[in-house]
Amino acid sequence: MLQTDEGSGVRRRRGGIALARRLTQAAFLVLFGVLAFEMAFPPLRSPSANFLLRLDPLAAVYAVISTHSLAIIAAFWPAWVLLGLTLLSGRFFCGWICPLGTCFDAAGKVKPKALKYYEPSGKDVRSLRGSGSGAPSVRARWLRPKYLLLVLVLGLAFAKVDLLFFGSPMVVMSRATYYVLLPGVPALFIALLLLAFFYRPRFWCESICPAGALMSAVSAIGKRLPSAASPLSVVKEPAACTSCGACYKACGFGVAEPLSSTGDGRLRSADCTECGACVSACPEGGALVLQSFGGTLYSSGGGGRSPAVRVPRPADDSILAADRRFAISRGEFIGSMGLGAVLLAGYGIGVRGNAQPVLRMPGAQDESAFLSRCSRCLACARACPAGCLKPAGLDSGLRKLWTPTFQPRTAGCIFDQCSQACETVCPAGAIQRVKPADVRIGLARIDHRTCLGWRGRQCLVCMERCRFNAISVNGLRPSVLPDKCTGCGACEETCPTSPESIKVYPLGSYTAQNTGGSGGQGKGRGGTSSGQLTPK
Amino acid sequence: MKSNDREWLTPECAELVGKILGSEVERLEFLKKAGKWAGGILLAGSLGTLAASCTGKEAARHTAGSAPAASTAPAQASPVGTADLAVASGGGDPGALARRAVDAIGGMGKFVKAGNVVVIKPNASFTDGPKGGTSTDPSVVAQVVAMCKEAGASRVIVTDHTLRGAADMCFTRNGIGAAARSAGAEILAYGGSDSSQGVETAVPNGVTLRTTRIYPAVLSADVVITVPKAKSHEGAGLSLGMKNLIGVTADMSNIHNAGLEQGIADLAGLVRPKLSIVDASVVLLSNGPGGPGPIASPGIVIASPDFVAADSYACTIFGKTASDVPYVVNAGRAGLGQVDFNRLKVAKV
Repeated sequence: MLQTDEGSGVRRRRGGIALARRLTQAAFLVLFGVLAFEMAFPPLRSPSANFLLRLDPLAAVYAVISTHSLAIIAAFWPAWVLLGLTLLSGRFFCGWICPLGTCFDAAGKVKPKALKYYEPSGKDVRSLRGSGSGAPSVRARWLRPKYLLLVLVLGLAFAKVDLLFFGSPMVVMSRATYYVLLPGVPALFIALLLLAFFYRPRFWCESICPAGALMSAVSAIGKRLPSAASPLSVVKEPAACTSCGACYKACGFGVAEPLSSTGDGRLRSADCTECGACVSACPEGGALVLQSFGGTLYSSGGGGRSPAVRVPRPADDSILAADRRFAISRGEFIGSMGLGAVLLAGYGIGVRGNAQPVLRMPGAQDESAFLSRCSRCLACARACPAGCLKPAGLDSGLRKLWTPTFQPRTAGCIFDQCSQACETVCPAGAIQRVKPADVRIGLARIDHRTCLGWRGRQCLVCMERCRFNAISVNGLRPSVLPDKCTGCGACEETCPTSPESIKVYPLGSYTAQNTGGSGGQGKGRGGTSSGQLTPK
Repeated sequence: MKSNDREWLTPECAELVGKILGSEVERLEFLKKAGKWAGGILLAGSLGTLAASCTGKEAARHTAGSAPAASTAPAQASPVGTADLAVASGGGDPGALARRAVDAIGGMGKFVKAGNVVVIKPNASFTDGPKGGTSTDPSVVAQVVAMCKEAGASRVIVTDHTLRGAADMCFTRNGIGAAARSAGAEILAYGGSDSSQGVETAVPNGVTLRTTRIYPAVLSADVVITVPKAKSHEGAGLSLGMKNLIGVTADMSNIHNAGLEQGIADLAGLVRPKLSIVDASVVLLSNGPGGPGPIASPGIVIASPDFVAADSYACTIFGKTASDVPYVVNAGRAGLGQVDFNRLKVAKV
């Protein structure tokens, strides 16, 4: 969009900075899609296809808490680099890179004009006037819940409860791509999109996102550095400002700081994403400038218009100081801990409600370590060439929701052929590399009551399919050789009876049942009978 | 699968029969009779041909069956073997044995016409090479493909629904993929438990197997040739030409629930391979079908348009008879072929 700058007569591209940002966002969204596709369809050509999953700073901090493994922490180097850049340039990731944020912006864009909520409400504006008491504006208040959630999420990480599955934008996006590529409903992603559509496009980012909170916190420290040290920063020239409020209305995050009369050079709001929306909205030449290492990238006055209703200059700058704050009060901290305790208790109930062990992929960490590391991004389920990994539903308990489970009836595991694609893409160290000879996913058991062979009929498909010669045959009757069975599930996948007469059980459950002593108490598949199930 | 019911007759004749006859039972009876008639006519015809060309060197070479040198050379002239069932023995290159056996029953041109689309079903279910006794010898597959090409087949498709490991991997490791491709065939490799690629097909004369899912390439083929590895099968007795046909189905569940004893016979009645070439060059004696187990090297390849007789004969290699392999008996009872191969003209070449 080209507009004539009336003052100077110079034609300037009003959309310049917005266009640059849109293109950057689109590029990263496409890159995310390309890498997701790369991870989803074998053969996996590049082991670094999970690069963008390792860009998530919250996931990186999680790895520090939950893995204590230097190799895994080091594998998150993109996130550490990002945090370093965040220190210099604030939440530029959220404004320019985050694919989830891009989706939110798009949701806001497609919204019909009548529904558009870009501008602060009258209440917000009135609250900006302030009362001289130093209370934050309404929207500034809404910037704070994310810090509470960050504290909560990190606190629960120490208790080995993983909330990354909702707290990390990359994980939410990754899971969404899983459901797009393999039919399913990305519930959380859709919910967030609806929120963006009907409420505020960046409501999640400014108020909820724990990863965003982490970056805001880092940003608040780094904003003390001069703009000359920052690759991307917004600088204000107060002399040119007429306090029209266009900047505040343009800001997707409701940051009020550009309004400040006392703004001195670099703007220091911890939530600013350096997106430049305020710069392109500002009608006054040179009042706001997007800078890189002190050099001007884009200057205001390029066609922005003063709003019809001006936003009053805040009565005191304590309101604006609220923008800059990331610390939370003692009361809020205690509150978040209490909320955490309640959630933890809820989780405890969820876990106790379903303690049934599930099958995981070969090399999965033991269940408790697995649950504390797995971010539920489902990259493994996408990468599996056999398609044998499926996200757990609510029936496996809240704690295991969306974690990848091995479903032999869908497809057997071909760990001896796939070079552990799941391990290759896992960004969180939830899966270990394991030699094919050492793989023990579970143990197959035969239900003698339904097995065709045990009912005197010709079959032995399980034996045909077993790549490990773990089925011995007596007449027409198959039996599992426990020392040879790897639990790959080729037998369960192809057993012709319905339901399957040979089934892989998690190792723990099998030995528990086997050492349980007396037999004859079998109550069906997966019941508590000892040893082999026998006909009644 | 209508076209497959009429394997006994020429396509034109079968079409006519299809028009005349309505009921399945009548039709089956008629087909049996017509088959015998057609067989008799063919026999008489070929005897005539034999008599006519008895003095020719080519004929002498093929009917005598004592010219292994001819077996590897491309068939320039049409062979004139007249046997119903040929047993090529003596070891050596299994592919050469296969060609000798096929030549002795009249050559591939008798079964494959110019322009035909041929589906060859080897046993490619396992990753073991020819020494394992579990997969059809790649040289046999290659020779069968070559013979079909020489007979003028427009397309030759080699297919199997593999058992252990990914389909492509099986075809790669057991060598059948490369051998068939270099002989000019296309490979259709299936695996896993996904039955969606098969087409739900009714089994008109099925006793226990009512429907199954057949791969479309097999349904649309002009000629189906089963090229099994003869080997032990703990479930079915032995794995032979008819058992091998399970690999043209996408659905493993129906046939096993139907019971292999009858299910395999029903399936064979549906698919009706025009030719059965049983590779018994190296065989797995027990712990089949996948092994590992004891191996023997009979060095035999059997060929016959009567797939029941071919299987029945193959049983003798294992010191068994057809009565030890229920599906062969049931197939004979269904009139699919001759269990008592001694009633046929057997050529040992």
